[in-house]
Amino acid sequence: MKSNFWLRILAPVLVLILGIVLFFTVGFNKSLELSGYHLIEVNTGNYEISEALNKIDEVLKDKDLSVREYSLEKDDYGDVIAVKFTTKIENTDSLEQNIKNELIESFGYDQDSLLEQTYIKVSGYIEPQNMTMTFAGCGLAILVGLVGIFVYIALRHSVANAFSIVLSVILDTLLMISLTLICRLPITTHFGIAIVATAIFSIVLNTLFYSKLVDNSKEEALLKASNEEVIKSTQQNFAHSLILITLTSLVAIGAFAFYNLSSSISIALGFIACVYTSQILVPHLWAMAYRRRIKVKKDNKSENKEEVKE
Amino acid sequence: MTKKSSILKYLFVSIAVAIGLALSIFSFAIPFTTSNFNGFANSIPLGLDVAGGYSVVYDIVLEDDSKSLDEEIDSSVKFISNVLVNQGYSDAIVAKQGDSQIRLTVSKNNNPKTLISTLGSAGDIYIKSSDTADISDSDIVGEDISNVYATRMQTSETEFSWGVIIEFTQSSSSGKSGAEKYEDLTTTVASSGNTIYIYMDDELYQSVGGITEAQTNGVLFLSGGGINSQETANQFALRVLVGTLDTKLSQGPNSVVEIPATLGMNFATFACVALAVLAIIYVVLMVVKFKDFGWISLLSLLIYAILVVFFMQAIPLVLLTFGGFIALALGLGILFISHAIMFNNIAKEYSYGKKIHLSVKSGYKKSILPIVDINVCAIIASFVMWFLGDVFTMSFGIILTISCLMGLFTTLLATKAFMKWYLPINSSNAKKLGFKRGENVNEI
Repeated sequence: MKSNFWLRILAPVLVLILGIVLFFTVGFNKSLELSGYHLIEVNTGNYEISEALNKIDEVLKDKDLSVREYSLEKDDYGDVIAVKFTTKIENTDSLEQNIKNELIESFGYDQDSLLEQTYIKVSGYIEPQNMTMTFAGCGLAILVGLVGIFVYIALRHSVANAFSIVLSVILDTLLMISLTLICRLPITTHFGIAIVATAIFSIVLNTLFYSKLVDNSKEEALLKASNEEVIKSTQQNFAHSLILITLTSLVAIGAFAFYNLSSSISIALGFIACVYTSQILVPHLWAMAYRRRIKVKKDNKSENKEEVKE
Repeated sequence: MTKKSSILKYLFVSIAVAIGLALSIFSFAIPFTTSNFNGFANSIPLGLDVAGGYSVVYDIVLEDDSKSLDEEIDSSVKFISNVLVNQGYSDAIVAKQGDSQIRLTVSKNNNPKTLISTLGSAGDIYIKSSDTADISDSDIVGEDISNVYATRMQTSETEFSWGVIIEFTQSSSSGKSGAEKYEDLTTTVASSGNTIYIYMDDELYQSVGGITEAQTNGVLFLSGGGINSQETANQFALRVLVGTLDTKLSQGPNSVVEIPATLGMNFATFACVALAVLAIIYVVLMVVKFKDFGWISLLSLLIYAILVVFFMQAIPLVLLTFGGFIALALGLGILFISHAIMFNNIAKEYSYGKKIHLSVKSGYKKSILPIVDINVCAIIASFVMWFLGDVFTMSFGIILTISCLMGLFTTLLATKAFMKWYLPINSSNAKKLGFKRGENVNEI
């Protein structure tokens, strides 16, 4: 059992170590909103959107711009193509001015018209959104929530179960963050959702598992069973539901990945981590830590039975 | 309960559900009135990431040249962000742009165009004892004001009206505090004129008459004139607050752009389809495994959906963002788990040899605590997230809280009632419920 346990713990420990190393060396792969960017907004004028896009690409192609994101906006004078980019060039003011001049020329706008000058807008550097407080808020929310859940489960079941759930939730959340770091998924303003969704999924899975565990341990056939046997039986009963819950949740969450939402992939990774820890890791830790208590129970029960016989 | 009354009850609930669904989805003109009913689902406020909004660029001018432009822009960005959150624009994004600009991105809720023009027209406020634009040392200025907010107050025995509370500073590092200046000002006007004048830049905005004694509480309530609704009160509060900054915001020509949903075009429709597919998978699984009870869970699911949509549009704090959609998916998952626990327990009781009606009774009883456990734990966590998170986690928290509460209601009350009504229709044919029992097990 012990060797099995160390094998089970190996994968999450490796993931966590790798995650910590990446966090302190290369850090998160931040999206444009979190790393800052430049923005050019071009009114398409009389051109079709595809035609306007080609013109913009033509102007931008040799400008050493590293990340580009296009979106279609609207101002008072028609369709606007917005291009977000980053660049390593130091003098971005002159770069942006060059781009603006070339675009005005390419689209045939009048340099001297005050109105037509607003058809091409260059932003200057747009500072990144500060997400430190957001992520700190998510972390704090999870911790405060876990205190409430710990108290509830400790009152309803046992401190051991409550502790297992809390441990599992923290582990799952950290694993999700590590996996996001390892997969180099871009961190967006929605990453907080990935953190809290993983925590909630972990809470639900673990609460369900320990409810079943408590139920099973009261079953006639398992009264004399060891912790490991109770867990094994619960896992067998739970396997069907677990597969269904996980698959349907992954279908729903994974569907959002069609919209290229890196956060939904982070959530999916978090859910997989939840399944692993709530089934394969933490229950066995629980069994190891609380073996003695069950034995005492068994002894008490056998004593009681003998008394009844007498 | 007879079979006939059970069928009648199902029929009544089905009609109610159909009406509920119609009210949730469709918009229509209300007969004999000029009003339109918008449909619950269409009335849910959508976030910037889901439905898009507006983006505007303000040029920043520093009013006091001795200060650093960079620092003033940074503090203006923070200040405006906080003010907008307090005014209900929780998903507004304020960012510094270039050397001397601020970019504001705001969703389509709460009249964003008015907000944009209000911010651009914010000016310096002066509260004076005379109706001249000349500034004197005794005038109350922006830095004497600590807070301004819209509120509804009783203005006579029977009337309540919207207005603005202006709170003055209680201390000052140089000279008199705002509260002291206000006391001096009201002492002056109490003896002559009885009126104070509020100027926005050099334009008289409003006058407040009937001041007959000195005001010592450091608070001024403004109402009437241009401030006659919640919207105008909020606008005035915003103008005054932004006017207290050392920077002035000005809007250039053609500076407002309508932006698409940041998550992509038609994201809301796509997300709704994804949730519908999840619900269909859930119902199919239930019907395949539990046959008639699967259809009962469909009825419960529809009631759950109507209630969730209703409360999402009824509770003013709800903003449907990406987080909200994830919460809806999780809420649906928790409902699925709750039903699965209940039906599995009933099936288990049947397999022990109990009759169907006894299995339903004891299976339901055994399911209550696990279902409550899951939902309560999810509610505790999501409730905390609602209070401590940012706009996306708040949306996640509040929608998951609503989903879990409605899930608890439909599972423990509605589904229970539907199962009770079902028993007179079928209390002996276990095949219709997908229940199985070993051949050696005798019926109790």
